[in-house]
Amino acid sequence: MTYRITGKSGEWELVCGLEVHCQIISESKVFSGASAAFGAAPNQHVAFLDAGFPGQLPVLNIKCVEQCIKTGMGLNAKINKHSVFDRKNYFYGDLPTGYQITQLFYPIVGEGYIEVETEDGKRKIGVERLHLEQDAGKSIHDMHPTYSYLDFNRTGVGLMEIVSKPDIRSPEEAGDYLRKLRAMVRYLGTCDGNMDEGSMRCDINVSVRLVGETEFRHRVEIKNVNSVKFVMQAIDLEAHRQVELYEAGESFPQETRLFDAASGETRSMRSKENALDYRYFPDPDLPPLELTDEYIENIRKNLPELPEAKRLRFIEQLGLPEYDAGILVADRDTAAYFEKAAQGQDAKKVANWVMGDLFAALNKDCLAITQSPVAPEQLGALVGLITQGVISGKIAKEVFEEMFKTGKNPDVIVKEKGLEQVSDTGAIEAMIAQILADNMDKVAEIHAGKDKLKGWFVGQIMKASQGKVNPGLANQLLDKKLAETKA
Amino acid sequence: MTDLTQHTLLELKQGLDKKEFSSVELTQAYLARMAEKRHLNAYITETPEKALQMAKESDERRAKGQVGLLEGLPLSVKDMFCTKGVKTTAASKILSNFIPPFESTTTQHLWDAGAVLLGKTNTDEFAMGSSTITSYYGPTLNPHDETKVAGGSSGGPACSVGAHLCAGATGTETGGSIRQPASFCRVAGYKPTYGRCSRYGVIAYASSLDVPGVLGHTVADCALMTQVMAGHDPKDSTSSHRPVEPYVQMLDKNITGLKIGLPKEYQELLPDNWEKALQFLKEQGAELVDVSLPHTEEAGMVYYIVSQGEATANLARYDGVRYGMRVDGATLDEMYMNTRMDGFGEEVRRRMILGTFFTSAKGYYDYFVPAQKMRALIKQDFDKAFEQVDVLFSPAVPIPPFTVEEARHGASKGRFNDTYLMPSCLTGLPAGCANNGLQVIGKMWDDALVLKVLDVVEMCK
Amino acid sequence: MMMDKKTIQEMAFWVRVHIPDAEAEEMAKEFSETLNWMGERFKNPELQALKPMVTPFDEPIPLRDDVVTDGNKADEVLSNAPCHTDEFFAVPKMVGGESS
Repeated sequence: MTYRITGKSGEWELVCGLEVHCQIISESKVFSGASAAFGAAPNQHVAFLDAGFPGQLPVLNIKCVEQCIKTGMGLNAKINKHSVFDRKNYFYGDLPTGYQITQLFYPIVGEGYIEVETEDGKRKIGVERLHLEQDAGKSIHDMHPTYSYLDFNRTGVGLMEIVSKPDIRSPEEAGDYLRKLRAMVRYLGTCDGNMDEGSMRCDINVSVRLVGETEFRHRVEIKNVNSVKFVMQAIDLEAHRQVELYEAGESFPQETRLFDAASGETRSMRSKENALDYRYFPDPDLPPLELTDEYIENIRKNLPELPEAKRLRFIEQLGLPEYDAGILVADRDTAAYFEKAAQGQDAKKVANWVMGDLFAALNKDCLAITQSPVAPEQLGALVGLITQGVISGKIAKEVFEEMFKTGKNPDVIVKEKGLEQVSDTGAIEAMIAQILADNMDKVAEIHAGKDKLKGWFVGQIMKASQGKVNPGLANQLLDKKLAETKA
Repeated sequence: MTDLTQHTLLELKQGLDKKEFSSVELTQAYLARMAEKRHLNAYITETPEKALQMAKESDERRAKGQVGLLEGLPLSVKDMFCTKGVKTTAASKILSNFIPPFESTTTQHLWDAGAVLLGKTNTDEFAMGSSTITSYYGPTLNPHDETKVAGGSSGGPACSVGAHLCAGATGTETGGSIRQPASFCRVAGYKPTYGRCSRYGVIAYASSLDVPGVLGHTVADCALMTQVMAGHDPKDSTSSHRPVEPYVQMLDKNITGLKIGLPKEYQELLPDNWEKALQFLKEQGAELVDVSLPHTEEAGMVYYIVSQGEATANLARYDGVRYGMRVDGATLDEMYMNTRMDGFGEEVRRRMILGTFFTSAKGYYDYFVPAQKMRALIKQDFDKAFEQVDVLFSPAVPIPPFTVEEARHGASKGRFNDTYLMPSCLTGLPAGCANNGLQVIGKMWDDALVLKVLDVVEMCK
Repeated sequence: MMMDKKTIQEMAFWVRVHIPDAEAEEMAKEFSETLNWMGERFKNPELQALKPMVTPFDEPIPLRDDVVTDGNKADEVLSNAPCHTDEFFAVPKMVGGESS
């Protein structure tokens, strides 16, 4: 359903773009040899460069360059063979040098797109650029009544800023854009995509216009919104706020606002009048980055399969329904698990087990799929036992529970608990004969035409065999035995 | 040798090699003279204890047969080079208490070669100036005429050499800051090719122009120090991988057949020794060729725009948070403002303000980018000239030193102060002046040739 | 290009220094003249075809291997700070977001 806001003056549409900062996965920082890892004691992962000491110079980390190129490929984007580092100048406590090294004029990655899916179908959201830059430090305001404390551990960690075109027309599209982007960077291993931990952060540009207008009206920027849900909320909220103001004939400034998750409101941070002039200019400490075709192609060759390609392969080669394929590829670890489990097994059945029992069990214990006590090979083996008729689907659930608890292989559990399906027809026939003999009144009713009672008998057989009899076989043998009693 | 301080670096090196005196004796002689000449204000910080300790260690090494290229030779270091554990101020109040926890690459090379640190020399604040009058520690006087300035920004280094307060000195040049004071103090000064000596640990003024270099009694002294300081540094992304040549060995005094260009724009005002020098070079077998560098005039404004633009960003880090002085304030911005108002001198503040404009949205496309294009045009001038000749020859600074008073009233802004120096800074070319005030400029990476020609030029007194 | 006192003072704030009215006035006047003079020079048609020269350095950017070679020296990093705790740098309480 097309996203529209109805006002007195007509139907309004949303015009939205996202700027997403992704912290690059690397061992060391983008321009210094200090560790980029989280969780160190304050100011331990700091080189003199990161603390902005005089005379310190930046040296570029090759891994960060590769991560940008990979991500650019994931965005179906042009990789720029020539890119330049610029200084972005402003004063703030968390920026020790007084400038951030970034790429304004010549970014490493140019135009690309992300395909989003909403109820309205698929749409390509344009990506304007991806550039490489430094992260800022952390300021802590609650440790002292009059001082803020500064920790530069995060200062200089590599960031990819991915800027979309103003192509987004609904909060849902924004949400899916972020989810797709997050899945992609996780697939590529270029960013862990954790919005709640701040390794993926989002600034939103929102404006509205009457349907049919072609020009953009002025926009409001909302900073640092830290979940997909909040992004969608903030966009919806801001779009409605702007429509209300336009409808009331009130003007509002082109400004930056902050989203407050607690109150679900945005508040003004600074207006255009005191907008910043960042005084960008090329950083003379860093020669331009020149990449060769060979270098770029080598990265492309070694790129892991991306979600979309994987989804198509799951549908075409493994015969999964679109829905299943979509769910399984959304997360790299899930897809990897599924693929391992489905090796040599009925893929659709494995998909059902992953999305059903496995997801439920993991959710219940708050475990990630990588922490699953049931290894993918074990789940595959379980599905194999069902396919081979060794156990019934019902028994399999019991086996799975045991596997999840103990991590044991399914065949071991089946053996230990004696859960194999009984396929010795002689034994089953004897069991049925006994049941029929004990219930001759019901047998008579069946012969009198009350066919429904057969179901009751099947139930009795399952009960007597503790579910180990193949239901098909049970039916077949019951019919045979009933016929014998008739004769 | 009676007064050990009255010799060149190479002479002292020989004396040490022949065991005529020890490094400790030599160092003591310099320390005594430094105390005697303290009124010249060549040094901001003297490091006598460290010097004697280093000299002692050098003598011990020598006794064991470990002799570096600069073994036991006492040097001064411009206070723009960070020296580990030794206060480094850039002649600014804002860094008046800064003790670097690291050593600059070029000075590390000096110590690795056995040199001894006598102290840190005066400079214009953050190397911004050409009279050393913007130093928070007061002006440096000219050793040959104490009513005059030593020039700048490497006024301290030039004075420390000229007054024999060290055997040799490091300097930095951004817009003429080695050659101008060298010329004023009648010593030799050498600015290597941009990228030849690492900038790691050198306090930045304008990053695309800053070049660590040397000042010495002679060109040969400069050649030796440059040879030690030069070399690739993985900590500086603008440090060359090209191998360093043995500059001193290459000083063979043979310039026969060499084509020496005389830029006509560099001859507007000529020193007394000019004609004699030309005659001398011809006698040495060089061919003199008239060339033109038509955009010489423009270099000044390109320098003004580029250096101030870059400096504004480079000096943003002095904010009272991580090192240096702080003047408190109720808010972060107030603290920044108080610290920077008190910590920076007027000239530095002024350059930062103007530099802000050149990189602002308004100034970037109208001034900064055109200036960078003009810089390319100036480079083209040199490229064309070097199609015809091997090196260029001219006076360095065709005017005599001015007084402190004159300097305060803008004497250094006069057209002849740095007109012949700035174009080679903008283009990163190797350039130096001999101790007779005459300069040679070469092609990129032609350091060996420039030093060799300068060594010949210096023979003409 | 005409500079005025207000612009000079605004630029001064950008670099966190203060400049009194009279000085700003004088600087604006002097700077305007300089800018006009330079503006004339930049009309040189030779410039149009040229690529801006950022640096004289002509070698490719070096790329560093992704290994941790630095850090774990908080004491040294903090040793020069005018105001700090055992672990942190301290500054007057920061309010609001990113400042200008």
